[in-house]
Amino acid sequence: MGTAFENNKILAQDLPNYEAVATTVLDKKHYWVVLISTFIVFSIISLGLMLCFYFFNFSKSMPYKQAAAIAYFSFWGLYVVYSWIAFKRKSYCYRTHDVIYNFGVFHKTTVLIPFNRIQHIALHQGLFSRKFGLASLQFYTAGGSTTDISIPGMPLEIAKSFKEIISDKIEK
Amino acid sequence: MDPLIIQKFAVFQKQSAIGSVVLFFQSLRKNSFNFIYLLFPAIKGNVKISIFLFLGFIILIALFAYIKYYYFKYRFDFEKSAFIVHKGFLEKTNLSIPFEKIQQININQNLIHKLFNLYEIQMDTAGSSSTEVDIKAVSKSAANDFKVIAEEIKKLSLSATHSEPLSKTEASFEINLKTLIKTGLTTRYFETLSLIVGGLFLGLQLLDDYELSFASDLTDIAKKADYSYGLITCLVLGVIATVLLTNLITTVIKFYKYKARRSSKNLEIKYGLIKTKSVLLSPQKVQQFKTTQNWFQKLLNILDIKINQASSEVSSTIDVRSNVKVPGCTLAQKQVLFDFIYGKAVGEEIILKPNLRKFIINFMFFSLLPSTGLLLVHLNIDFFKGHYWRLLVLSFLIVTLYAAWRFYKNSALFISKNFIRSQSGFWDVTTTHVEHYKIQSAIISQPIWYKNSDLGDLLIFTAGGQIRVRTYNYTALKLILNNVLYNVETSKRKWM
Repeated sequence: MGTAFENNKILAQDLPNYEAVATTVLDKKHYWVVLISTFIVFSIISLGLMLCFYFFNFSKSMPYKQAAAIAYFSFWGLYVVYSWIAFKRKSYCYRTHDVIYNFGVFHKTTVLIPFNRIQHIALHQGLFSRKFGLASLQFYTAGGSTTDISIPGMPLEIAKSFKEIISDKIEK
Repeated sequence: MDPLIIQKFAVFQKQSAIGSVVLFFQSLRKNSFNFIYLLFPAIKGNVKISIFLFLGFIILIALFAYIKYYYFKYRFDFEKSAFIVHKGFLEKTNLSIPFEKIQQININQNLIHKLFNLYEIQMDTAGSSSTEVDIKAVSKSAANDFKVIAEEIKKLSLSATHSEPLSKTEASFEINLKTLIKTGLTTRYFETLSLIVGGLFLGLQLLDDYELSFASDLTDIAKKADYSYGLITCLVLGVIATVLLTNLITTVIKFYKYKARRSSKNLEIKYGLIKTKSVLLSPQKVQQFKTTQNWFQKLLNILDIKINQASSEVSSTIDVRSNVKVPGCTLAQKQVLFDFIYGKAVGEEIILKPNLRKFIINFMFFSLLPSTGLLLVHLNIDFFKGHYWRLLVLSFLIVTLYAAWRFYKNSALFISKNFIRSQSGFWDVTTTHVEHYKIQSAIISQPIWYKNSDLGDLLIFTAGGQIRVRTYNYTALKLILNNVLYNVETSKRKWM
């Protein structure tokens, strides 16, 4: 870093560092939800392809059948591996004044939303998350939909209590 | 407020029962286009299948409408002063909006509503362009109660708005015809050029569609013409003259008699030759202050200003009125405006420059790659064998290389105690000012391949647009973010 950064008059060096806090990883059960959703999408697409092959007789005219099948299944295999890494990379932390959410496989990304800029909060529960007792919290700011992050895979009770706590901290 | 209303809305309310019918009609209307697909079997001769599909589709829509109605519940939590919605069948959503954040409650009635004497309630919060809560159908009495509550909430948010100290600068200025002519001649080259080219192609296409011989005559002329250097020069000069003239005329018509007058806390701006437009600039609502200047404007000592305000107007459509434009103002006028809005100077700044990789990547993707493509075309396709093509590729490479270099050289991030300022552009250089406490949220990210070189990107969101900087020193960006967050979280000032 250049000497400019030792200029304490403009940038203070001793402020709380968002990187230094310990973040909570998503609940393990959330990965089951991811797997089940992936499996459903996989089944629907595979069924559609099978129907296409059956009705339109693709198999006769198609070359490299085995290679295509291997490519198709390895794509899904890779996708499952990717979703595992993506799941491991997701973590969150509620500090006194803001919420931190980390994610990203190729781009390691951190979203920071100060509580006093939150407009409102939504608690979502999908069909499968409900079975596992999980919920996701979504934060809305006036900054546009790009930063309206939704943090998945939180135990319902914890999500509910965070929603209460943060609702009280929203700037009145 | 009437205690009866409080009592009524303290428990969860459903929409009016006939509301499910309204929901049904609305989703019918939304899906009306999809009914065309159901006609396919009928066209093929299978009318029966069409009718079956049709009935099935209608039953499905009715079922979904009923489920949507059945699982939508709302209430007012007067203790915690928040509006609460529970909705969804498979995915359940549990929404709460603090009263203070509700900007507007709209009570609408369209044709279907009128038939059943129902009303639609829409609630908006600041910033986002979509409606946060949309209660499709409530009875008349409930709509009246909403009106009462809306009044109450309005009072609440009015008392919450906190008045900023008046800045003392006398802010009034005009922009005369001479400056407008200067602006017209120096700005918006690329936009106008692309508009003209696009319009030309559209026109030719239209002529072609109507099979007018005129169009094919034109293409014939274009094909047969002898492309001497004289002709090309004439064409280029013609295009330049058209662009300049179009810009000149549109700028003068749009901004004729540009006047800014101070009225109490706000600045009233009026302009326009044919249609007079008037905008209100209120310092508290300003989110971004952008200045744009190109090389010609720099020589003439003028710049363009664009000010983005957060709109508290109906946000269902993008409110263009909330943005203020100042064409061709002088540096002194800019200073007056800046002082009026912020009441303070930018102050001492730290300057940050992007890494050289930004230039290398831009050069590779926007200059080298397309040039290679053009060269391959030249080598492989007979039609492009002419020597002029080689000249074209070379000039393209040089121009894009220069643009990528200018883009890299002009990119910079400035941090001061109160402001964050980003500069970018290769011809029109734009500087965006954002006051720290107006920031809503931030995203910082690092591609894994930049880990060792310690580079990363930062995105900063305000209610009037975002600032994005890429390929900067990651450690510095993190330090800036920590400082900005601290300033936002300790600030007691309202961002709008």
